[in-house]
Amino acid sequence: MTRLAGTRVLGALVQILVVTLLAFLLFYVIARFTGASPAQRIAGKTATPEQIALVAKNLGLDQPYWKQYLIFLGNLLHGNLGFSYVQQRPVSQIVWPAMRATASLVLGAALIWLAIAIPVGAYGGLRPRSFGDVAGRTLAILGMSIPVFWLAPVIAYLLGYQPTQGKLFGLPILPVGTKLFPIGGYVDFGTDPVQWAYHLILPCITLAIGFAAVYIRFIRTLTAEQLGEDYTRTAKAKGASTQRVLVRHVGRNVTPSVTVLLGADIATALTGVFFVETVFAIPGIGYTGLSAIENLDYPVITAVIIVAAVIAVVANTVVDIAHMGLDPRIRHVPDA
Amino acid sequence: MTIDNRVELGAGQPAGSRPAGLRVTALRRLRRDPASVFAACLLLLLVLAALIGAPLAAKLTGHSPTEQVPNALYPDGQPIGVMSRTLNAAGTAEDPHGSLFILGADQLGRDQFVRVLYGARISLLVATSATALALVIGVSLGLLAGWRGGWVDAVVSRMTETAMAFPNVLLGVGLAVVIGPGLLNVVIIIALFTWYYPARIVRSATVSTTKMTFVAAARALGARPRRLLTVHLLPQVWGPLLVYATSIIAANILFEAGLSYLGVGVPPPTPSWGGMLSDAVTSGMYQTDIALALVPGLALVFTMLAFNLLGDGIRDALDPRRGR
Amino acid sequence: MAHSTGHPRRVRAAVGAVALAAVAALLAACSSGSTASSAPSGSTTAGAPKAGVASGTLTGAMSSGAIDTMDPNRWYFAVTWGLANAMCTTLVRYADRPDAAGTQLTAGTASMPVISSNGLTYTYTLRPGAKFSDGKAITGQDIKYTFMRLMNPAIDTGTGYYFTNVIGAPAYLAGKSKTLPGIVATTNTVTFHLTAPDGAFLYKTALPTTCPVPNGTTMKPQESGTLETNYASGPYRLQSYEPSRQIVMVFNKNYDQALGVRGHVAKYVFNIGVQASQAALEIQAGQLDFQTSNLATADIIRLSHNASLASQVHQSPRPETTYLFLNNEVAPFNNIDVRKAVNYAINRTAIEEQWGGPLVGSVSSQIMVPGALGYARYSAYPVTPDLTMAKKLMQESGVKLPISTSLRTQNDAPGFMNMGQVIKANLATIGINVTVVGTPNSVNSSYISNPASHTPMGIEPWSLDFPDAEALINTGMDPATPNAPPNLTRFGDKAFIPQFDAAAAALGTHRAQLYQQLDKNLMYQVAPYAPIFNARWFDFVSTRVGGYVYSVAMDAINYNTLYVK
Repeated sequence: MTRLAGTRVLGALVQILVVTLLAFLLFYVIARFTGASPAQRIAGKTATPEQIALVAKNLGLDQPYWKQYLIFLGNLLHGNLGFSYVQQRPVSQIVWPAMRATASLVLGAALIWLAIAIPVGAYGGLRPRSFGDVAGRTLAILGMSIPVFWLAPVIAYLLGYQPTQGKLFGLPILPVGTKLFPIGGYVDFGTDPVQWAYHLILPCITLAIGFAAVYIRFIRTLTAEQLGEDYTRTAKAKGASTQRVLVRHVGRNVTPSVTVLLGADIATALTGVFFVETVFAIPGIGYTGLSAIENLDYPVITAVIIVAAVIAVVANTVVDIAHMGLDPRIRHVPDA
Repeated sequence: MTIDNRVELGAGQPAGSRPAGLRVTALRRLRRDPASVFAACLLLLLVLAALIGAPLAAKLTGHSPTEQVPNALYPDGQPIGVMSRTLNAAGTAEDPHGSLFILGADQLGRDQFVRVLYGARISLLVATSATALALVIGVSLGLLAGWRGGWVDAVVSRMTETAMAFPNVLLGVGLAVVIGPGLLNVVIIIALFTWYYPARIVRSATVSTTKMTFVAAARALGARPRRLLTVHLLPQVWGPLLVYATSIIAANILFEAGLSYLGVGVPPPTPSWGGMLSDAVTSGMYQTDIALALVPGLALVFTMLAFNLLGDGIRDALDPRRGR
Repeated sequence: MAHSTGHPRRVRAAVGAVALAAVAALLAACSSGSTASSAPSGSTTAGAPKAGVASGTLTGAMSSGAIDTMDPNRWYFAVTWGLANAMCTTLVRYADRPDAAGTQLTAGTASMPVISSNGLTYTYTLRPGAKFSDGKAITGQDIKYTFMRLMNPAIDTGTGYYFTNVIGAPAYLAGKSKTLPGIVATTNTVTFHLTAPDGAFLYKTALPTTCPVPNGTTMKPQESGTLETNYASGPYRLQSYEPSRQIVMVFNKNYDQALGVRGHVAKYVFNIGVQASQAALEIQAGQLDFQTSNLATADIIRLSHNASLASQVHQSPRPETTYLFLNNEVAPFNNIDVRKAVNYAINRTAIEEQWGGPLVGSVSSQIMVPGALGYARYSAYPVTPDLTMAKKLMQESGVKLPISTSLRTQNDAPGFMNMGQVIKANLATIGINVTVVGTPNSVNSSYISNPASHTPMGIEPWSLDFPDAEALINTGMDPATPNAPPNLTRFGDKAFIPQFDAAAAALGTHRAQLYQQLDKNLMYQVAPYAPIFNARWFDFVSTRVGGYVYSVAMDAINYNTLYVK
């Protein structure tokens, strides 16, 4: 198992290297062809071509690409993510706080969607074709079909803004000025944990809905499968209560698959949540990445992509290795 | 934009477990499942609407999808609502002989109904061509990796895994910003991020097929790859690929809508559902005229619903563990 | 044993029912028309605030790209200029009055300067009481160092160019010299020696980038905000800056109110990263007091027509022009008749409709803009097309039709692409086939500013750096420098150089007259580009905000006049 794990880790490292190279090349090279020049933007509206060249020289943008890449790689190995010339400060000061905000959002949403999906999915698997099952799966398929960039502003409007005008879902049943949820904004955990949680409720719910839908179906399928297996029938025949069967036997067998999926999803979510972040004004990674793209802040764009890819690679590697540990069948399969 | 059944379609479909008559059985099951039939009808309706309904609507109402009809906006800029006619010259009330707007006008006085139908064209066109392109890339790479094996396989597999690690949408947006807008660009970008799963499916199916003794024997005897692959590989692969294709078309519709929502997808004035949503939401107009956001939003929801239901139906129909 | 995943029939039938119910619910939830909102109560209007007394906190929203830098000498965006107005007192500054009155200059850190009769020497005497927020007096050496800093090529962004007529400046700007002999400083005076008279020099010494910094400040960009925290010279100083999150500005007790009674709010908090439409919602809900971006057209419409909210909406002119630039060096626009034909063919009213209509701007067919000194409105070309004239001019031009060309504009701000489509339709009627190409603003602006791109035409907004025609006409189309990045029209007609120079050197009403004449000469004789409209500025503030003034010169809210009701 150690050899398998070791190979896996080595593969992961190579992947990360390739990721850095691609990310670097992609933007710098393509940008050169489209004539989008950050030096121009920084030099200002009235700068002469000579001044623009001077700014470019100061920023080191006139070096050949391979040199810039090596400097960049060297910095990366020291944990230095580069320097943003648009914001004139180290990229790490931009990216890590953003990461914290996004992590709050994603992990909070994960808690919510698991809290919804596990009971609903398990119930559906336990009692297939019951009303609860049908209802759960109906809601799930609806939840999967709603685009998040529509859901986010609608939720912000219905639950954040309308209550202040005395309405709940269009019905004037609340006192005017009710502050049910904040329309947007983000408060650091360090500044005020209560406000931090309060501002995260609506965004986390918005994000959780789509994922909950997928997980309800997934957990339901897995649970139903496991409950149809011989060993669960044996356990029940031996007198184990349904709850015990569910938690001890089914749960244990279902957990590895759910963990794998969860790992991959959290990794993806950490980078793909910018619709939610933009609407609710959460200064996270997706939002930072988007602004960097608009501002042609290449070091930040590159850093965000690399951080996201590294997280994905690491998450997948960890989850794979954990899966190997949890599921003895996998360790011995030569062709994974 | 998660894909529900991707884990279930993972590596290692057992070779030769499907009877040759699966296709027939599957079709029968599909026909008997009301939800799948409903979904298929919905999709058929969508295609018809896009192909025929759009120009028909344009002709009947007399509005083109990009035409800004005068008197479709009140003097303060508010668009006329659902089932309204254009206003009189003074802009105070509806003109009883004015032009009818079935789903109202948008903030530039364009007919929402016609636009949402033409938007269907764009969504379907982009999603299907991107999926087709992704399938071509993915299947070719998967075949290559599975058949050749060895270092070719290793390289392609690592390449696929690395590509999968990249943050999809962010990179897509970044590329779109730098490459520029345009229909073709959008299709290429979307395809670039969706070829991974077909590649993996095809690769593992190819690998297990080539491992079968009789295949190896046939290969040693000089049988041509094409025949081997067609006879033995295709039956295993078309099922998962079909299910995958339906879910990926749905995801691509959403991807294109997302890109258009951010302003880097299909450029205006070409109507696209994402673009219509973007207009409604970022301008804040949906707060006073919810129809502006509801119309493209519901179009997206129903389309996604249809694809999801159909995908479910197909997967259930192909499940070898079910009865007749 | 069937391992079925459950009977699908009931699930999916239920889906249909729920979908319909959801639609019904959503339609019921819609509230069309303006909502009868209620402003949070308690807006008893206090009397005019007392000098030197600052109380209350106002919270505002800022969009994510609004901050370009935190180094005061590098500030260039409108939002940071608004902050500069609060945290800096330049040599001379703009009056705290609304509209055109706010473009008048008044004493700041120095009294109004003594100008020599030949216009080549400006002597500023610093006023007693002018000090940094750490208590130290501002000296002439500090001021000289400030100018050297803003013109230093290591930091220079955007406004150093304005001072090329200071003796010794060209060499200093190019990095070839380390001294600036044209500025002479004593403890309490600063004298500028120019190579040629400059009628806008006074305005240039009011630029926010001339924010005083102490002698010896580092010659590298200072982005942490320490300069504004410790050495602010205005009624406010920076308390904290969390990049991309928040800026907090507090009343500066060391600002001498004798320099001008300013500052009545104790604390300003800016939350960065809020979308404009969400911010409008939050202001209406009472969760926010103001925002720094222009209101979206839809919000302007919605709010202006809501009687109970109308008092919270403010409108101001802006020194701004949105125009269709035509590349004078590239066919077909190198032909004067073609350019004039374009001016006759475009439907300015319809184009402006795409931006929001007459509510949000006024169409223009002249170069100068409202809000700039000496502006006098006239129409060089009609607001609706005159196709007869246009076609006649196309014939006279001798250019072979049809022509194909392309129009470049930004696609990430609403309205520009739509305006492009209208222009495309207009020009098709005179035989010019236009392809509209949209890219995000950052990509677009660096592309079109590059003379090597040979961009034939495009739609661009231009905001004046100071409310004088020089910031528009000389900066934007000086025929001596057709390849300067801001000269998008690549205007290089040498015959006009004497007129440009004469107008720039003149002072007072003579200056206004010369620029008005130049405006007419350009538009009637050579039509270098096609002006379209001048946008107005709209602000929506909460009921707690009193004393609202929009600083036309800074293109931002004037934080020095606000008070909390």
